[in-house]
Amino acid sequence: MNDHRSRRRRFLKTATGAGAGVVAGLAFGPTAASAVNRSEDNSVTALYPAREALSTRAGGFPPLAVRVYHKLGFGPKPANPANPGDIGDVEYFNSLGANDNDRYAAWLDEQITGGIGGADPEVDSRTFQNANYTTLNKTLTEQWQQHRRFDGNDAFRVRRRPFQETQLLALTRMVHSRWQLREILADFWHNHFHVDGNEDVVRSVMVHHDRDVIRPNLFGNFRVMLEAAVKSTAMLYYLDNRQNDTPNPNENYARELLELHTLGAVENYFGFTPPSQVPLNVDGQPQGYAEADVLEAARLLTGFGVADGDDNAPDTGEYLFRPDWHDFDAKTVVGLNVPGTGQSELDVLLDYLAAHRGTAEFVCWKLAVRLIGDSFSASSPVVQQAADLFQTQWQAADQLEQVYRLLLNSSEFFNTWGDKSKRPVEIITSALRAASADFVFEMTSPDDNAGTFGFLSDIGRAGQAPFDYEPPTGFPEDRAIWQGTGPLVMSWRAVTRMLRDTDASFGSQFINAAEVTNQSGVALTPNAIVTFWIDRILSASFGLDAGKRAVMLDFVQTHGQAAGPDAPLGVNTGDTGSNSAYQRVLRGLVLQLALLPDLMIR
Amino acid sequence: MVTTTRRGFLGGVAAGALTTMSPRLSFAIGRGSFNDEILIYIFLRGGIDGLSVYAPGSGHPDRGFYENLRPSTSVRLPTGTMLPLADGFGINAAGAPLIDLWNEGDFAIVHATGLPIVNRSHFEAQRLIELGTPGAVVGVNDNETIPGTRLTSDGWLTRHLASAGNLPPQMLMPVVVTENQVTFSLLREPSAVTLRFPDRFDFNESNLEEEVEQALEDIYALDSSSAGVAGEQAFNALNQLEPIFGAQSNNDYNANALNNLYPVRNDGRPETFSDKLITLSRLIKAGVDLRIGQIDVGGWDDHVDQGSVPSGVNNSSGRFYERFDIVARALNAFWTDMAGGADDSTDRRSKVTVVLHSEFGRRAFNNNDNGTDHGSGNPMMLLGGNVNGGRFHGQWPGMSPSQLFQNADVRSTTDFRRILSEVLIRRQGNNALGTVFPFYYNYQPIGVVQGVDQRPDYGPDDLIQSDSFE
Repeated sequence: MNDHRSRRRRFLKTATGAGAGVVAGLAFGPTAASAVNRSEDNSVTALYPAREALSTRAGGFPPLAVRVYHKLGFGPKPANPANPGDIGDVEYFNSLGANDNDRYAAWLDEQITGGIGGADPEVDSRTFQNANYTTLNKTLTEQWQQHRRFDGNDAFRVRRRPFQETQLLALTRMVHSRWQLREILADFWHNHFHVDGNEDVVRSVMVHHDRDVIRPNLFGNFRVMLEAAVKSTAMLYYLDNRQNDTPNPNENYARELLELHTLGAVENYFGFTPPSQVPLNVDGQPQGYAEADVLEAARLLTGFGVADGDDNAPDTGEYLFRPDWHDFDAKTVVGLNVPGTGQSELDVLLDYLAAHRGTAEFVCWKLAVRLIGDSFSASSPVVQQAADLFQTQWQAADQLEQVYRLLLNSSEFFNTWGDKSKRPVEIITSALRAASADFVFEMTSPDDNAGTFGFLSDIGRAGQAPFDYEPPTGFPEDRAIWQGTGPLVMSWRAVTRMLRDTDASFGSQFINAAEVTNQSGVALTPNAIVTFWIDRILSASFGLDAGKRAVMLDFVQTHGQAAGPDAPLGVNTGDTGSNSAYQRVLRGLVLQLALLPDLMIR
Repeated sequence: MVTTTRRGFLGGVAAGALTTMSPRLSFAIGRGSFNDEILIYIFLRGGIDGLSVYAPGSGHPDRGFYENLRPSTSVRLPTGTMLPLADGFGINAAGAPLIDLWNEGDFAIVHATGLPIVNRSHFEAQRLIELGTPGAVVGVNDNETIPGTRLTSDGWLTRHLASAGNLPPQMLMPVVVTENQVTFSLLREPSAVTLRFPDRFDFNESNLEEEVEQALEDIYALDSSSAGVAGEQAFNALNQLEPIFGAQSNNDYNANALNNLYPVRNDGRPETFSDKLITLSRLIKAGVDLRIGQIDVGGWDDHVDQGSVPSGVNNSSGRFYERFDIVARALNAFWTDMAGGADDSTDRRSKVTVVLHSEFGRRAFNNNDNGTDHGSGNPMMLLGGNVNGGRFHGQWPGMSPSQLFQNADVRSTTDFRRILSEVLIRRQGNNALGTVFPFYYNYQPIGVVQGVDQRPDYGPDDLIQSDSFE
């Protein structure tokens, strides 16, 4: 009867083993009455599909060192043959102990300690000590007065500069920072407390938001970070709370506070259910929030704004509470009665939300998805364990560090690989790291009319320039979103351009793969060269498929003009110029390695 | 291994013609002819203020309520500048280009559509709409409410494509999303190409570009994981798109081939919405077997300084007005383009249906910031050669206090699925409603598009449906 439904109208085959349902990043236990199962093929298979983590490589996972750098960092960097002390990330990891357990434990300790307070010379030399960065050390008020309020020539560029420098700093850190775990976490929390850097005012205070709101709390305490986010000038503008006043509250931020930052709409939003009828959780509190709670929260948040010169306030851009804008009547938010005491009402509400089970589960679920794999739900065992810890430690100064350790030492972490698709920023930065790209991401000068780093627009076209996203949900998470043609092709394009360009305004920043090859001392035959570069970029025990290797070998042999796979290259291998025939071949090889399907996952 | 370039020239490829580019799918050809209609699904993100698109005019019984609810003169549409539509309603002056289409009978508006269960969260409402599973308020028992679910693993358009029995087994590029990422309506659609920058859709390597692309393409062909398939698809798209867009960017195409038909910005480059329509238009003309186009138009979340009237009038920011103006002009341009009035003489309008809507509308009253907050009922707009245009469809719910939803919103009177289902049945010839919209029952056409009716197929194993269909 329904044979037409068993056909597939596609112009490409679908993946073997990809028939398992892909939940749109929003998995949790069933709520409605009957789960309707549909038929076998690509149509609705089940409304509540069971997800399994994908293992996409026959023959096991890559070595732990490789996995750690792709999951908890932006990809491993290889050794620098010109500098014997620079041994490369994978080798470094393996030097930390006699077995993987010891190595990982040491690596994690080091990354956490360093992430909290370690020196970062590779980043500093390119940014903080670079004259083309002019805003990184400015106070919030300086950013406000010198950029937000700037009215001279090139006003657009001046107002926008803090945002652009924050973007470039973020990219610099992803590519060059020693503290890769910290950068993964910074990316996560920026996304959680997302603000659109493009927007007016937000763009002028973005340095503050990154430096003073998000980064100090990465390994610390959620309650502290949450309060910093509520009071962040960028957030107060982005979600309009700075003009939330009585008697007509603006509910934009109140909604997102509950929906995106704490309880989450994934399973804790109860629509128009009367609050008294919202079911209770194990702590005896309402499980989540309803529409009425949004309005009550909006009332509570009246008056929490910015000193913007309005209404007799100073014009500093700092957080300011205005009692005459505040609704002093009592509120009930998610079952919590809050008497109208004024500014301290915020503390009462944030304490409640930070300690709430719903928040613990939502945040821990998101962390599990970002750090481990797409296939988790709030009810997954490791998420529940992490939520338990999150909740009991909600006042601990190292609460988040403890939660990360639990997640990162779980068996789920060790047993999951390839369940996530790299997003554009990860594809691009991991390719740059694999190629040992030496970029300085910077504005073109300290001047007001300075242009930005040339390749930022290529990165933007791939869809994930840092902080450049309009909706408050931040960049989406699920593999199904990012494994599209657009993100892939535009990311590959960005990588290709960045690895080949010799734009003089940034100095000689091309990847001199030829020089690296020559300095290594390997025989200059196709086989030896391919083996050398596979080892550098993937690691020796990666286990790359022989067919893929054969494609690369053929490429080097053909275009390197070698008589055979073990014969010397015919092109002039002494010419390591940016566009020599030898350079082009090697750059092509590096590109193929950096963009392998094996490295499009993590 | 010998490498060969596999770029083929893409001309007007007939449906079903074999190419060397895509792997074969061998399925039995269905009975009957293939459906070659194109559906362009445009999502207006943020919650469009329907009452600033069109509103009761001076003769309409709700005009008084409208003015009382919207004291802000930068939000309220004034009777003096609204352009008459029908039934006492007037459209925002910025909608003048749509009046032409209305008068031609190709543009229609459905009053007050929305979710069956009101949801004012962007996040939720968008997903419930695009995944096509917002639940039901009419089940087997009339008192039963089936809540919506966001757990579906694919979008409504994905399921339409999976269930349509009248599509050729091979199509070059049937699904295009003019965005950076695939949208939820096409989640998990394997053939969807995300194409935000078509003229930059290549590696842009200066040397050995083709050779590197070919090598990578060969490598990806060896990989059967989801990453491998995604990559192979990307190369497939790349090979097809470069002949079309490599020669001329959308900017140049609009300027040279179309004489600046589509609205442009101050710098002469197409507005973003223009750019996306131009991409689809060029693909349609190139004959890539396009069936579904999906476009996002964002920015409608007007909580503050909405600006429904032109900038400067009554201290208006003009933001809504300018946004809607671009939409209206771009749609008008697209329609001229599809009529064959620009660079070729083929009239394609009878094959195209465009549907625009938003996740919800906004409150009937404005807030204290000259803006509006989230509401529910909002207009669906349709443009097509087979649209019953020049009139309203659906039911205007009224704006008296008792008629508003919770004294706040224009009440939804038509489930959005009803309109989409009608388009699927009458234009795409797909009646598999049970698959496309689970838990949606009691479909009846509303008459907004022409076409042959079919009895809905509510699905083979729908436990609830049982024998409730005659």
